[in-house]
Amino acid sequence: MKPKPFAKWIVGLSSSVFLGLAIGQLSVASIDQPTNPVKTGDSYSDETTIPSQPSQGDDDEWGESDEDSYEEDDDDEGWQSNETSGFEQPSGGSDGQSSHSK
Amino acid sequence: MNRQLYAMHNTIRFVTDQPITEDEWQAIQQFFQYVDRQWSRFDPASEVSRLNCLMVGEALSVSLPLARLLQRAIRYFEQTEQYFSPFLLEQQQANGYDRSFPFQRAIESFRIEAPPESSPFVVEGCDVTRVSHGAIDLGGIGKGAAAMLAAQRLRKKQPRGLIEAGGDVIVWSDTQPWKVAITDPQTEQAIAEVQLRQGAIATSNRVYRSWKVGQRTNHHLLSGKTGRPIETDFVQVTASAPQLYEAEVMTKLAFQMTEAERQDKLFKWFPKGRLLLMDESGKMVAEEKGGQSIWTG
Repeated sequence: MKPKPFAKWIVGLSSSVFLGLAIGQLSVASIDQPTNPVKTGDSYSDETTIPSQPSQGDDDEWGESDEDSYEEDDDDEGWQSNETSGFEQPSGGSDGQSSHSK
Repeated sequence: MNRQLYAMHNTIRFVTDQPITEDEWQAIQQFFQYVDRQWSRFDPASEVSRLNCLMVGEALSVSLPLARLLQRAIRYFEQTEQYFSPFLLEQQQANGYDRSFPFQRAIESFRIEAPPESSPFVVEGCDVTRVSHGAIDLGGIGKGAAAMLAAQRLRKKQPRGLIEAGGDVIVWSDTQPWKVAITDPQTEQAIAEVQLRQGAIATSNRVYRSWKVGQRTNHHLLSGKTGRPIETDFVQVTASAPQLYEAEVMTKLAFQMTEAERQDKLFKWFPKGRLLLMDESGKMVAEEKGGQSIWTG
């Protein structure tokens, strides 16, 4: 027995709605959800190869303590004070030199 | 003891009272090799370049030092109302700075995109997600961060040390202070010096990194707000601050601000900072929180 035209229309509509919903869901997923992070494969992630280098995610010696605010940055590793004389007339025999990199 | 290596197109010099062990030196060399490899905007395989290639919504897991540097750079970007911006790569390329120095001539783009007003990237742990348009160019803050991280490591075993990274200097000392000279951008003669036991000094000028576009001279110092070369009477700015990151950011801000803005904003954000500014006539002024003085040496 052949399906009645109305029944065909209902089946067709249901399929379209389902497909539409599925496509919509995919579109939303691609906009709102970032793809899983891609590992860079940098050698820093391989401590067994180069032990002295920090690994990803470790609070390693090359990194710094986690900071929540800018104020805490200044306390980081004891670099909080600027113990300087201020700018003075050059007296010669400096230990280092500050100039723009060339 | 005096040792040096070449990285980030600069000579990096390490001066310490006590010898640096071979293991320590090897670790330092490896760290700067990593920085050269992964923080460069010119190497298409670097982590920075791969971040710049991300589409909106995509993420990349990067090495910890880069993730932390990005977090810090974004914080400065937001804190300084975008006067400092690490997201000016496209503007810098449009400005003609599209390859490593040295070069003398370039072609600039007629169309310069407006720079980002918010960070194009969100950093969570080591995961960096692109959320909008804009590309990273770490510039001086990358060099400063590398020297700062090396100093933090060396300081654990060395009571007194100095690291000079292409004009950026960071020092620490439990005893006698270090003496650092600041040089004239034209003559390279010492014009001032700073004695410091702990802290950092950065100098930026618009003389060295400049090039011809037709008859005009372009330079590399871009406004974080417009993305265009800064129009300023100052030729060189030197900043001293507790940390090298801060000194680097201060120099970029000082070029863009009026004296009143530097007092109202820059020294509010960096209250321990000091500036030495030189204009085209060679006149210099020293500034710190609360005032300015003509600097006569």
